[in-house]
Amino acid sequence: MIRQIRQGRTELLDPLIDRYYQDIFRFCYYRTGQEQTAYDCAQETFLRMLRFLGSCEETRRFKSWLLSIALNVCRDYYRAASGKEVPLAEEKGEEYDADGCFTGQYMPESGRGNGEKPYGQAEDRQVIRQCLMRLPEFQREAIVLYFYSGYKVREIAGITGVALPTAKSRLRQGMEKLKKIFEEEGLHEADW
Amino acid sequence: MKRTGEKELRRILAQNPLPETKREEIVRLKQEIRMRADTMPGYSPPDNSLFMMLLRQIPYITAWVWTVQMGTVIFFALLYRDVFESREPLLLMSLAGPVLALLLVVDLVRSFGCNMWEMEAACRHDLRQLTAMRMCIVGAADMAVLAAGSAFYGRKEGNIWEFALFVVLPFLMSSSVYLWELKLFPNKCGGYVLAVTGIVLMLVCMPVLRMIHGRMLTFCLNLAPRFTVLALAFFGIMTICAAVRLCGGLKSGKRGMEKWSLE
Repeated sequence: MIRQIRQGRTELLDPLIDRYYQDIFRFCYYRTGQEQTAYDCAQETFLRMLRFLGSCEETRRFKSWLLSIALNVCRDYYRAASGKEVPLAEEKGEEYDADGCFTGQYMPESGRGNGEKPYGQAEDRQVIRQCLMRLPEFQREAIVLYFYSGYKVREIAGITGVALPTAKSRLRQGMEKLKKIFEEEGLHEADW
Repeated sequence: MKRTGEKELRRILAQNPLPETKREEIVRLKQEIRMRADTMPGYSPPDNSLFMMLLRQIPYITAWVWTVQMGTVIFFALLYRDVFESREPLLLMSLAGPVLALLLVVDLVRSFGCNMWEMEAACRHDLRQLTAMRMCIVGAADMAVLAAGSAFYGRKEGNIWEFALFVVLPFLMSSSVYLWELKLFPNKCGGYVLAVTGIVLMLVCMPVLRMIHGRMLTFCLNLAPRFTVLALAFFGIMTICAAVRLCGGLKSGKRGMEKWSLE
């Protein structure tokens, strides 16, 4: 299909988007933590794909290549928007809505970090999202690709463009840090 | 981390499911992409048929290869004409086979000097494809010349199999040997090894072929064409295997080496 698109059959772009949009959106959503940002990043990913389709190596899996673009798009997005990021909820006890905007409410103090689970389902999602955002970006990418996209470590190394030991190390450190964060947030007890 | 820890992480992370993607976002993206694709300059389809790809490779084969090959063919044709009246012109023509095959491989040796092929294998276009295409082009040109020579000799003398035995067979045998050696010595000294091999083959071909020809004439003249065809088929397959092996080894220098684009 890629070869045919390169040869000018642009009508095949629609089925291509249908096939890969969900995966790219999933990655962008978990990577950025915000729904609207994920839509913007997914759109930019496909536009860049169109621009660089000629340089896609036929020996490399297309989906991995597309995810590499999505990864760079998300990183570029945050570089461009640096300084505008919302401070961490855990530090201020602030509550955020689905799009990461402050609702004006504060989390109850008793529910923070003492092993209880005061949150409902919607709050759980928000807290998990914020926990993910607390990870450094490289570790977050590894976690998202491993747990949400279902890639193996070797594939993650290829997508992120690093050596296999580096990818393993990022994933391991990300998992350990995430575990501690979940314990602090009361999503799980301390002894795993 | 323990396996149970990973399972628990997975369970917790699964509590944050992906929201439903908005249909209108996808439709908007498709419209944007189509508009960009239609207005993108230079998005016309290149002709990527095998024939066109082979044609595009011809200018990249150095001109001296064609010049020297042409010169070799003319030289041996003149030699054949001049020694025709004397004995065994075909024996002298048997030297043409190793020389023509060597010229084919020398163009490939350029990539192996100073291990340049490792860098070339990391570039955008598949080096294996390019090498295979160039071998096909030069090999096909050589085979066309040899086929023309066979036809000419057959018309003049009536025994095509003699020309095939003395000229085409050494060509195929030499090609397979050179390509195997290039795989064994993919570096700067490969050129010297090939040159020495070429000289040895030229020295060996004449007496061996004379002996085989003499035995055939004496003992089994009616089997000679069959023997020649079998030998041609055998060395033809060996040449193809050697070429495939050489191209297969050009994939990348090291495991996990990233390909990069010069764009």
